[in-house]
Amino acid sequence: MLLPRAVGPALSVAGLARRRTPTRRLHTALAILLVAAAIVALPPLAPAADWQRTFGVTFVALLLAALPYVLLGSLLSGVIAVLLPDAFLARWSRRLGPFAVPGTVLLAPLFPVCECGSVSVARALMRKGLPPAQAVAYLLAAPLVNPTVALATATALGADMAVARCIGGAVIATGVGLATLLIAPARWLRPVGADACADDHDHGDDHGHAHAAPSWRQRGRQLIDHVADDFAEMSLFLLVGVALAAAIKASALGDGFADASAGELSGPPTLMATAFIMSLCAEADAFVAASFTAASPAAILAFLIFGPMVDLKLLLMYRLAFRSWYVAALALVIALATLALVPLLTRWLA
Amino acid sequence: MKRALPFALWAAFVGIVLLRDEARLYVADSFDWKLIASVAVLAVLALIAVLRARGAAPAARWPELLAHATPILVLVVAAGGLPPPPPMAASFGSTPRGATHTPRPFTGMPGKRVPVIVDGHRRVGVAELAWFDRDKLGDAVEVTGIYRSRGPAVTDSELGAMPAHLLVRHVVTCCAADAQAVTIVLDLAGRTPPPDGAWLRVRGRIATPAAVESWEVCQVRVDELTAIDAPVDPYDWMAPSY
Repeated sequence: MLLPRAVGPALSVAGLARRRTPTRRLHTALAILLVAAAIVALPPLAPAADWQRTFGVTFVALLLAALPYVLLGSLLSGVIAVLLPDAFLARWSRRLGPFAVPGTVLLAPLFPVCECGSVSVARALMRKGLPPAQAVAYLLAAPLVNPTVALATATALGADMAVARCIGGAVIATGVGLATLLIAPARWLRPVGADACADDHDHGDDHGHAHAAPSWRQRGRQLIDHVADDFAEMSLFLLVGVALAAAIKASALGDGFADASAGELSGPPTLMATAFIMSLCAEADAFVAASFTAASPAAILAFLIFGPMVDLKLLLMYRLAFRSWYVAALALVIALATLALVPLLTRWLA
Repeated sequence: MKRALPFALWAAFVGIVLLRDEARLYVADSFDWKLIASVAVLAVLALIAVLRARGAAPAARWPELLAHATPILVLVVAAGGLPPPPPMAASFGSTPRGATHTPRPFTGMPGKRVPVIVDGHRRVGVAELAWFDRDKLGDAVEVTGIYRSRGPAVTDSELGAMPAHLLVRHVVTCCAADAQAVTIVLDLAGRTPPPDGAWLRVRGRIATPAAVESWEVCQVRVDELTAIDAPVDPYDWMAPSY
């Protein structure tokens, strides 16, 4: 099997896990702090207080809501890693030329996962040779240009809002993808692992030699290894992100957004901040948005577009694939683009 | 064995929630099959990790395993058996008066419970009443929630009349993380107010909406007031099964 050499020094899945990237070590340390904090601050060592209840319930609820999708993302990324022909994505991208990024956005529904699973899938697509800028476009578009999410949004808020959300997501994903083309991948991308070889050996040397096609039994083993390793890593990031989101919700910072959401000018940024903190699933957030009856359509749309692309838990999961400065820039650019785009889309809605 | 532990810990976390029949306290009904499928996949991954002598993925180190154990720790120690988050900023989810845009009707409710008629009263959730339809004025309803007293009724030139008696319920659309305290106003019709924070079953009729600040809030004129124990499911659910 000839390995793709899309970006930087390639590492095998096994190699990636064995080397314990600095990001993974950081999140392990954060998770240990979380355990220590939970033991010290929660009952029975400390009496149950209101914030502890809010933290506990929010933490468990967010994990239960996200876990099936993280697992689905890991399964899908395993299937891509094992079954998708190596050269297919690179060849397809070359053929599309300048339309590759918008093409990726339009084809995002082919891998319809919401944001918790899309990070795994995007990493798997990069390992299979999808150019990184297109992978970013997919990552941002997948939760929004998504039939399940569109159906849920249409049910809760009407077909117009669903279409506006889809268009908004597609425009921002395309714009960010195109802008990312201008930056050398080595500057913003963490090393991406290539797929594990059929004989399970480590490709940390990036030797790119050819192998005979693996048998189905070997493919099955690869699939399980890939899914297991991906889930073990993603769940760690999810854990820390969810803990942060629950801690902020349990603190005073999580209150007081309701009044500001009603303002014409303050509404969109307020609900974007709410979406960032709540870290809700894209398949469900439309129903939450529908309960903000005082908020303007622009604020609701900002909540729906921004949340699935940037929230607390996602930022931590993005750091698994991207360098920190790029994650920060991504959040800022998406926030500004959402604020700029929402008035136009709202005018169309009216 | 150590290789299997992360998956076993996550499977145990979801398994405990399902075995204690607590999933519906945290997530909507539509998540039931997703959680069962997740446990099955995680259990298979754990089993395979145990059976296989070697694999590409190395065993997790102990600090990482400790991190994977956090959900169970929080579930068993903190969240399990605790009541829902306390009413913080109780929102009067209703029609804002003087808003610069047209309020949207809420269409995504109710999905969790099918309304039933008890002694001539339609059993409804606080959420359904909060976004009530004016055609329903005079309807006999039964609703359950937490009583909150706002003290004696006062009138403020800017804020308008402040109602004294409220019924609050946490309303969930998808998972308990999005729980919001939603409030309706009670007209006790001269009855003695119950203790603050008590769970009540209220039977009465939908009355003219009360004016609260810039909002019109659903008001129920009470016919019968019964103190009850906190229900097993403390939340009111709005989201349909999507």
